[in-house]
Amino acid sequence: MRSADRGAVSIALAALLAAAGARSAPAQDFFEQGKDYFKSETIEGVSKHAEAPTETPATVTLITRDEIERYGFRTVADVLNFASMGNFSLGDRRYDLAGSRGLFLFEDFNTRILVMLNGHSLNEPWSNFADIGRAMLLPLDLVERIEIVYGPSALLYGGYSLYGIVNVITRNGSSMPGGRVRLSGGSWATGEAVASWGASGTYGADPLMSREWSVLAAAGYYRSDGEDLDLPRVDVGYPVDLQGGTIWGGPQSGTDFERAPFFFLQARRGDFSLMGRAGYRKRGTPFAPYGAMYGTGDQTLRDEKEFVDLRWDHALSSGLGLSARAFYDVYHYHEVDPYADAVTYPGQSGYLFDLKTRDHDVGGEVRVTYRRGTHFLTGGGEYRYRKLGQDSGNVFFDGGAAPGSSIRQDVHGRFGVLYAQEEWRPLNQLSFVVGGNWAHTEPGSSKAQPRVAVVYKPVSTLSVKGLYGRGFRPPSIFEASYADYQSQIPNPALASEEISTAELSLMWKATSRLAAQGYAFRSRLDGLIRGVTIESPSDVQGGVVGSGGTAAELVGLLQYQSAGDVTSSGAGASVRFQSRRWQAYGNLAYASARLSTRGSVSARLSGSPHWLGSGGVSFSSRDWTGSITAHYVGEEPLDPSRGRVGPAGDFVEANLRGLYRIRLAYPVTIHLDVLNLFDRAGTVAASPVYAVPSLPIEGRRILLGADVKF
Amino acid sequence: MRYPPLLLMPGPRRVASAAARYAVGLSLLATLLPPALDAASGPVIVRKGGRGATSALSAALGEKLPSARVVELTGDLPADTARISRETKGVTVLFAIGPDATEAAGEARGPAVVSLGVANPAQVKTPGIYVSMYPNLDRVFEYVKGTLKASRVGFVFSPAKNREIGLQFLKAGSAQGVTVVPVTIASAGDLVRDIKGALPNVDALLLAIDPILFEDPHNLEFIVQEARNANKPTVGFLEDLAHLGVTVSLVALPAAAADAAIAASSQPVTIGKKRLEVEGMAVVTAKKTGDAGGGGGGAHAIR
Repeated sequence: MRSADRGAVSIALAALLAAAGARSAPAQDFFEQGKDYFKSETIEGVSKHAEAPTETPATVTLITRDEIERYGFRTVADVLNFASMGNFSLGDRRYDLAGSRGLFLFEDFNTRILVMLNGHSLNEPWSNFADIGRAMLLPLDLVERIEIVYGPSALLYGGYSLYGIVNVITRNGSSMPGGRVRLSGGSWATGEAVASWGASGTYGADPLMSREWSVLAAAGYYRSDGEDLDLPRVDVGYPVDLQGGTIWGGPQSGTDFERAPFFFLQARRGDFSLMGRAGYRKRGTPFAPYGAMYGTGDQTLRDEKEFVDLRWDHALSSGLGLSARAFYDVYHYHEVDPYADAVTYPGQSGYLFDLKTRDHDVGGEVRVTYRRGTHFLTGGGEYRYRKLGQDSGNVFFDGGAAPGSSIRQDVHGRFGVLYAQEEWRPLNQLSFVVGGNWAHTEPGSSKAQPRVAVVYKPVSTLSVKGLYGRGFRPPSIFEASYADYQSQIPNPALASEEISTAELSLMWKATSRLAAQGYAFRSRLDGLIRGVTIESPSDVQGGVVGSGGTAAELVGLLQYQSAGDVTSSGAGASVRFQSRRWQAYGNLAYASARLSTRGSVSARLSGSPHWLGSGGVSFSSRDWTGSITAHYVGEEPLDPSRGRVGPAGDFVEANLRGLYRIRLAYPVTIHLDVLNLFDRAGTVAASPVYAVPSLPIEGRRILLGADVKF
Repeated sequence: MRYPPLLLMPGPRRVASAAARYAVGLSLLATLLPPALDAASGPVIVRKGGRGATSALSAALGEKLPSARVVELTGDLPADTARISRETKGVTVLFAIGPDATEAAGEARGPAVVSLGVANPAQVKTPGIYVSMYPNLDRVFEYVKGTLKASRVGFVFSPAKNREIGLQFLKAGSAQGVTVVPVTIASAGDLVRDIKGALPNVDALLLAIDPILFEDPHNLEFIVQEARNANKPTVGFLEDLAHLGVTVSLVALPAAAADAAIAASSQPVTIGKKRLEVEGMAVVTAKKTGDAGGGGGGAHAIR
């Protein structure tokens, strides 16, 4: 951004804030204060019980329902980019790929961040993948709030949270009552319909003790033909069309499509609650990864996720609570990649690589909480049995199976964790959180992780936290077990990655309208799991041998190994302002991560920007709300294998939203969104599976819709 | 033991020592601070900080109990529970204002609780005495029957938040010869349908202290407008409602609620719950004292 632009924006922002301050309403506001008469909503967060952000043993950002509506966030990926303090999401038109505080790894597929829906882990067992777009979660209309937890904080969940946690808390029948329909559409033949119905009530004969029930059911469908693209032409040296042309790029249309239906149910009666989700997302991959044909529309991904989670939360006595839950998850993945390869199968112009996986995750958890005086103890355990199958093979364009290409593999895994955490508050100003867990995983091994936190509040408006925690990520079943002996071999000896982080975190509520937050951290990730090309027989790990009984025949194949350590450090800050009509926020984060591998000097992680910034301003009147949000992505270094080409990143993307509320028999909210308002042509770093080193972000998109409450 | 004790896990030395430095530094800082308030006997008031909806109750109670120690909530239930537990040693009764304070006081499992400013006690688990936010319901229905000349009233509430209060109004109205018609509003759609449907069949609308009134200003505006169009009075139970278009507010005065709470504290309840009604009732209109329909503005207390 030019300095003149920055100056103008700063002056405008200052003027807006000054105007807001001058026009602040008196503190006595009937509608703001009404909630004081009713109990606050409680959620399970970092510690699996309700707690305030100032007390949580972690640095957190909370995005509320009001902010989601006000700023028009559509997916969790949007929230990470536009509202977090150091997390980001890099979209490559296959998935939204999360990174955090300097840590980002190509082809990671969010396997190092724990993504949850109401505390239910969505990371699937095949590769630990969790989606932060539309494949596994819900439209954000149905979301009460999103908790972003930075750093390894999965003590009570077992593992996976090397980058942190994203916990999406849905609304329920009580907070989203009645019928509701939202329809929207716009550029690129985008259309979305979401319908929901919620109800709640109480039961029981005692007029002074109620027991609650609620139900929320929702279903929806998202579709988009996606952007028409005209990418720069590059000679990639392999055929990208059936005529044998090797020029990657040029115009394409209808290849960037996305289809995503879903169904969601949440019900509660007394101590029992049930949650279920079903749906899939099918998407085109217009940037043709893995050396596939360019611009055909036949290269697709399909992610299907279903789960059901049954819980029982019971107060055994005052201060002693018991919770139990059982869950069953299904994840199906289907990938199709077209290849213009006339050599492998003589007489054929090419083939489709077809990959399907079927994952099943079944398990349960028991948790006890005990509160007495200044102590709060949480203890429990969780167990999962994971079963999965994979089928892959090549299929000719006429539908026939390519001989000798079919691979079928069925494997299973286990995950068990025991955990305990003590929160002790000996003084009003001081609390200690100490905990640990012991986890055993297959594949992987046993791990123990501690957490120590000291929370110091010299005054009620200031919270200073000293945090130390360790986290781990077991190898995925794919990384440890997948073996076709054509491109990849297994590694039964593959160990878990482990991260340790020390952090100083502050939260300060300067006035009733202004709050600030900040952190500084340092972490070290040991045993980073990466795909390594076997260069000599001595490189092979786990005693793996080929069909001939030797390791020498495995040279050139890929094996996942513990192949490096990453050290990272950085700081972040956030400011939030809120008056009756105005809201504004700003986030700025800096982080640096360096990867050390065997026999090489440490190097900056490719694709990971040092600087991230985001901000938003909104104004609400009686009937309308207007907001603008923007995020800045710093320079992203490209993969060194790309040669000496310029970096990606270093762009600003802004979104505009307008809401207008009217009552046409029923309450109606009309919304207008302009995404990438200035149509900035930013690029993000591309992983090595792409033919080009960087990929363009989505262009300007205009969406118009209406939300009706019945 | 196959796995080392958790806190002795090997780790990067620099990171561990940094964490240790933070912890030791903060602990030393904490020990240099003045000690926390010593537990002492005498009245304790637990409340939210700032100027919230229940601040009038806090002020009234503080005035009646000038020696009371005030514990302000931090907003974090475990922290508040620990603080109450620590600061109420030797105390037999505490006054909790609002549902969050009442819940934290209950979790602390310390003194008996006298609760004020809770719209529906059924939704809070804490045992104790609950001073009702509504005036004595007999007086409410006397006013409705006498001054408003209403024999059939609609009681507007959401079933998820106020079913138990709705049953109390039904029972009290029946005892006074007033038919109470439940107007249950579970959603924005119900509001449109049920208010319009109920108004022709009732003489007045009573508005429960309910999230319906607070969640969206349009909801209250809609109720008031529809009632005006039907020429039916509306009755609220919060003072501010009279200034937002509601015909009349029948209010349990904060001073009377404080008196009732203090009187009740001499016979605390530790098992189960007891509901306590405030005898005094103020009639608040936007325009004229003691008159639901006139002009002038103010409040009038009826004993």
